[in-house]
Amino acid sequence: MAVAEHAWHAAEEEPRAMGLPLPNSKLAMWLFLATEIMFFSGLIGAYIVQRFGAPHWPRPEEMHLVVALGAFNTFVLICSSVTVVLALKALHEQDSRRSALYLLATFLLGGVFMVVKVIEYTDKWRHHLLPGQIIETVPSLVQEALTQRRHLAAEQGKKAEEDAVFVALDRFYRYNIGNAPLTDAAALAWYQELRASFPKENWPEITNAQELRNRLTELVRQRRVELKDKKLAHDAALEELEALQLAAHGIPMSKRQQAVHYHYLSEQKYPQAHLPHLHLYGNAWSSFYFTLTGIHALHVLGGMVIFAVLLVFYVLGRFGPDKAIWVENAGLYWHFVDIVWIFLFPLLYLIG
Amino acid sequence: MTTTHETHAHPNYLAVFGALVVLTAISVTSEYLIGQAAGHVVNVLVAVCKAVLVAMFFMHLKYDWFKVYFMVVPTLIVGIVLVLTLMPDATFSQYRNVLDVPPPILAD
Repeated sequence: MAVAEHAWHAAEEEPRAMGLPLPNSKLAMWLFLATEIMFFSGLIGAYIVQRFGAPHWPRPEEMHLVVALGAFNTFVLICSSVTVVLALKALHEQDSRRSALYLLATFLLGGVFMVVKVIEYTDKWRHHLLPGQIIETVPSLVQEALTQRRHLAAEQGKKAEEDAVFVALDRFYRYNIGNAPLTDAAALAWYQELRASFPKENWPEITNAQELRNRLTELVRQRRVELKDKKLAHDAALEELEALQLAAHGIPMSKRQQAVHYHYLSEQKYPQAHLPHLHLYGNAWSSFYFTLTGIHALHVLGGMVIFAVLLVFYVLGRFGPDKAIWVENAGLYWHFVDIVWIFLFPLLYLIG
Repeated sequence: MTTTHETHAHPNYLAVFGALVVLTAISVTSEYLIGQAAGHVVNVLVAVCKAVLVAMFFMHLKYDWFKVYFMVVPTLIVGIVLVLTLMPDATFSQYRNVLDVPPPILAD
């Protein structure tokens, strides 16, 4: 038994060439890249599942994605991949200076990529296309339109306070009378609060819930008529929006139908009103966009740090052909970041 | 130890660069040339081709493949399986029919 075990071990430990025909650091880099493959598979996989599982998904142009910018960044990364391999080739040819120049070019190209990224992110910021800030439903749209209208009124020299009254009344009516989800006591309590908020309006004391409903309905109607008289496109659009919202509560109108109708109102019927934009599933889109491109951009930054370190070694006069393996490993990482972008570009900008 | 890393001939990097640029141009224009659905298929295929080119020539897998394939192949398999196994569980599939009704007539 002991002899057999010994023989088995001996066979297992047959002396061969030690390890893989690969430098340790390169092996480590490939192991790291293997974990990175899994990391990005998870991210991109989650995006694909969400994208193709959702009943609707915003088109890239709707979310202000510019294909030309994405294509330009693709070109920049391809160029930078070439400069890295040329840096390695130069080092193999014992030309440290040329190698350092190629590394500098790679670093600068990474910088160009990041500048374009900043331009794109700033554009999303300006258009409020950030996760959690995108309007997807008609109720939140009406809120936004009312706020917008209040600003409009203030700009036109009207009393903002008067407008606030309308907004409060209108909101109260729509949410608590129009759809009647409140109990009588709660509705009366709310009315008291409303009276206290706007003492100048001198609203009468009301203790009967039915009377309150009648009066409020009358008041809101009257206000709406006043608004109509002002003949502001925005007001007229708001009227329709409210109708749309009320309809959405009682009539089986799908979210997409609402969105399509809203698009018609905002873009074709009342373009001069500059109503806020509605993007169905825009928040999901935005989350994925910023997560995917943001994590990729962090990888680009990481690569730039690596190249900066190599350039510092060159400046210190400690960069020579013996550092070829450093350049090769940095290059492996950089090419991987390039490959990730090769998939992100069509997924986000072209297929959308 | 220096013998562990044999240097190989460098491929023609500029030719690879040219191929990558041409492929990028194809993916940007495909949708206009052959329509949306076919364009999307082309885009995915082009992305795979570009990734293979970068991996083969820039990452030198043409020479190093048999030294690292045991790390790359399993992760690629697991990565692809991850996506494929999640696909049928598409999160909004229950709402697809509810929301996917034809748009209303846009008459005033």
